[in-house]
Amino acid sequence: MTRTSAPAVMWLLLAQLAAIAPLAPTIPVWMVLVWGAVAWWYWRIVTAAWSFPSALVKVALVVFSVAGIYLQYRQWLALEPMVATLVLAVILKVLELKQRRDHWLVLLLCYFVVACRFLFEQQINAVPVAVLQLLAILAAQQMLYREKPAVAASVRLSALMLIQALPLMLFLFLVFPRIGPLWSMPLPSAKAQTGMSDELRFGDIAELSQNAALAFRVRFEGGQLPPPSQRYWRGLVLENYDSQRWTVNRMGRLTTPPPPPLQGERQRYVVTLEPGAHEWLYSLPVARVNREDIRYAGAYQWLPKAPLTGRLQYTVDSVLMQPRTEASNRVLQRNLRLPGNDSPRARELALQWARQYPDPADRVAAALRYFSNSPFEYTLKPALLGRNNVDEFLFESRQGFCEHYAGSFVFLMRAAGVPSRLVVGYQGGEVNTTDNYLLVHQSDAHAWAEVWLPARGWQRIDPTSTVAPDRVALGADSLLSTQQGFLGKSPLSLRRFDWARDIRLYLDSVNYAWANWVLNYDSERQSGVLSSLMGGISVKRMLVGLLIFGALPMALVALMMFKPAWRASRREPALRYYHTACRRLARRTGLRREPGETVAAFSRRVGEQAPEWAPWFAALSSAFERCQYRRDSDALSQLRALKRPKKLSEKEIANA
Amino acid sequence: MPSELEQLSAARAEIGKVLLGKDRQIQQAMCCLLAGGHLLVEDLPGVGKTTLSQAFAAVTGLAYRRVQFTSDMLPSDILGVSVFDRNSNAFHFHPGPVFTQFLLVDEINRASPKTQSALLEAMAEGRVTTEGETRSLPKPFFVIATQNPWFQSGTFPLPESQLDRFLMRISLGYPDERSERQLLEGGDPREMLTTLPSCLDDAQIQRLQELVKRVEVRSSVVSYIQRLIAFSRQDAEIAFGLSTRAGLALLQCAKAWALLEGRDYLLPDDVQAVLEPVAAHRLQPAADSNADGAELVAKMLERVSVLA
Repeated sequence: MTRTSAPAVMWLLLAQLAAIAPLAPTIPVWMVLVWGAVAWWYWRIVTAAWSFPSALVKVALVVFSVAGIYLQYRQWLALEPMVATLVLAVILKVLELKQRRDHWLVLLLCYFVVACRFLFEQQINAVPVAVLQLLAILAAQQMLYREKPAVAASVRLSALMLIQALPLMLFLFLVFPRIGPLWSMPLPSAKAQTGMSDELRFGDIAELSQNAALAFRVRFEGGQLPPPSQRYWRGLVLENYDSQRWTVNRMGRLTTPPPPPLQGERQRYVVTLEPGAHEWLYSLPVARVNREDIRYAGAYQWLPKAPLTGRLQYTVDSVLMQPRTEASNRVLQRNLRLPGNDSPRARELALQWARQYPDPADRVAAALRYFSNSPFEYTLKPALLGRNNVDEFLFESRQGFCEHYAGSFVFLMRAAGVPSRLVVGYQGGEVNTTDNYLLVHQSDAHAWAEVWLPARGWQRIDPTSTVAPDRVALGADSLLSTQQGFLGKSPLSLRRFDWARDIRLYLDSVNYAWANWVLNYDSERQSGVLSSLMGGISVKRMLVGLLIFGALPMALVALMMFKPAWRASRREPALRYYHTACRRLARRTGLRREPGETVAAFSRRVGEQAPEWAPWFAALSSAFERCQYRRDSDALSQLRALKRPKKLSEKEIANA
Repeated sequence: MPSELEQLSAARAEIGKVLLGKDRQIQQAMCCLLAGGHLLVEDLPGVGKTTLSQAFAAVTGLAYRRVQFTSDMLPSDILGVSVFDRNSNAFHFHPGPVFTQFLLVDEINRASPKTQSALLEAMAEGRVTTEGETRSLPKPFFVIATQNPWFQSGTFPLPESQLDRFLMRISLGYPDERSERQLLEGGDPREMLTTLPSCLDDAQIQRLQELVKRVEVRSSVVSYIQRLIAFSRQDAEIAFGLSTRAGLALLQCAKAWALLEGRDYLLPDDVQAVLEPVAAHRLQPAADSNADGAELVAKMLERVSVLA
């Protein structure tokens, strides 16, 4: 057993803390306490004050901690409890650190823990932290082998090793095959993350717009951004209404209609969705996405074929002019449905418009006029509404957010016999002037309406703009920042200061470049980069070449380096026979030759500690010595004959 | 077995009769003689340094001289001096005590560095140059020097470079209880010394030294010696590792040891047996290490792999 020096233990514990600490938002908080307790305990063991825990204590520790993890997450088959279990294992293993091999195991697991963090966090600021973590672990590994603690030298060597690893990392980053996940694990927090949902009640979007998180980024080809009034990022269409909430018509999604034709001037742009918060894609109407894993779901909606797990980047072609489109009778009927008999006053008002104006376009205008002429207030904190929510909103409270206006507008239109539907998505976006792209935040979430007019097809109507025109022209935050409670506690509240805004946008452009070039470097891009670098060489050929010319010699060198006995025995069969015999003896008696022990000395020791093997082993040792240290041509054949261990019987021992 | 070897073991047995319980040290001193080097004995007074050398002189049958070093000694006191002879009207060289086959130098660290280096030069070269004339020393030429390392006032301790001239450094230590009792009950060892027979002569010793040179050395043992040297140069606790000369000395002594063990081939065991007397006085511990030479040697023996 090799005793580990106190500085090495200290470094091991520090490296472990460094590996675990950045995971703190993910793992249960009490794990930090477990780490502290275990570290203290182990320190006491090293300073010989306490002893290693008994098996019973260890089992109890494991049972309680695992139970703690279960109570925390209430499930196993998700990434977070699994990572927490790994971290727990790394922490508790410290109480079993007896040999240098155990220290190695813990430190190697620490690398794994460091890698695990990238499952949860992939921003560029995670990188410097990871570099520091790797430095700490590498230094801790060296400390295991240093006779004297040399912190500066260890850290310097670690940094040197990392720098040496850089070219290899870049090379592997470029050529290593991007294999799709073999299995996927749901992240529990992905569900908890805010974002659009596929149903809408009054108040949902007002709540969402308190969230400063980034939803997606858009870069326009040619750098031409559409005017703010055209930035309607369509997400999904809510067609069903059940007197309280608007929901997606799931039946309609099952069909796969052909994508709409694009007529007119196309605009091409690339959307990068942030991970975790999306179940569908956003685009400007009318859009077309050409990708295998994305399908058209009708009503200008685009959906991913498989649930989105990570970041997604897709290219869209859009024509901003809405074409005249036909709609089937069934669709129109569906968009006139208004089940129940709630909000009778609103229905009455709509029927009155229907009688008054034969042209549906006039009914639309009448409704918009109603919104602009009555004292409506655009607010984040509307009054709570009861059963007849549309009536209460239109005639009593008159306070609402975009979904109130859009929802009641669609209600009125359907009651007035105009087919209409609710659309949710984002409106606007912040222009990053450093890099000329658009940032769309959750706070830009918006709802608006679409009505079907026989002469023009589906038309976008945004009743919010008649109440609060600035919402569309300037964006949500410019309008709402004056309102109490809007992003009051978020970093976005710094928006009022120009310098803070500049820094934030600059940092975001760095992160966007990181997302573009590093995180989204998929197999498609890889083959693109490789073929542009190497001409006709394919990824497959590169890999085969790499394997033959890189990995094979490396493996051989490693074998030579780490198996000196093997290397020597290739040259000298005598050594091989002797080592084989020693291994066999060790299996039977547990006796092993120390590195500094000579053949004769070991043979004497075997004679004292395992006399039943002594005659055989003495003969073997003598033959080996004659082979190895003098010119004796017969010795090798004798040695070969003695390879198999031979034990004396009890009687023979007694006689001897 | 050649007759020299029989005589050799007889000689060892004879010395063992006088110097009780010190078989290992006797073998080490023998080894040093056969390897053709010189021996430094470090120990307290009265543990048998002189007895060892006198017994040696008696059984080897070599011409023996003894010099007690003092601080006022001059090089000529050892090497010899030319005196004008009136009868022949010429200078005649009167050889000093160094012109012998077996020289015992008592308390070598008492003499001035000048005198010390005169002796050490003679030891290294096997000849003496005075007044422009070079005179060869007789063969074999073997020096046993003693020093007391603990009471150093008024002495000139040998510097490391001079220590290197001694092939081996040994210490005798107190005898064990049984041997000491035997000594106390037995007669005066000085009287017993006079009764020791001479078992060898100088020709036989030279033949034995030839036999040492013919001991078979395979590359696997040389590799082991190289690994030992390399370890001493890399270890953090050792300021300066073993020199190439130390490596040669190690090989030479190990071969002599193999012969004393009655073998004509070298084993790593021989290297291990002589490593401490050969290397301990040549290893300089690093400034922040509190290990001494013997501990460093023990570490080398433990850590360096015997088999490749």
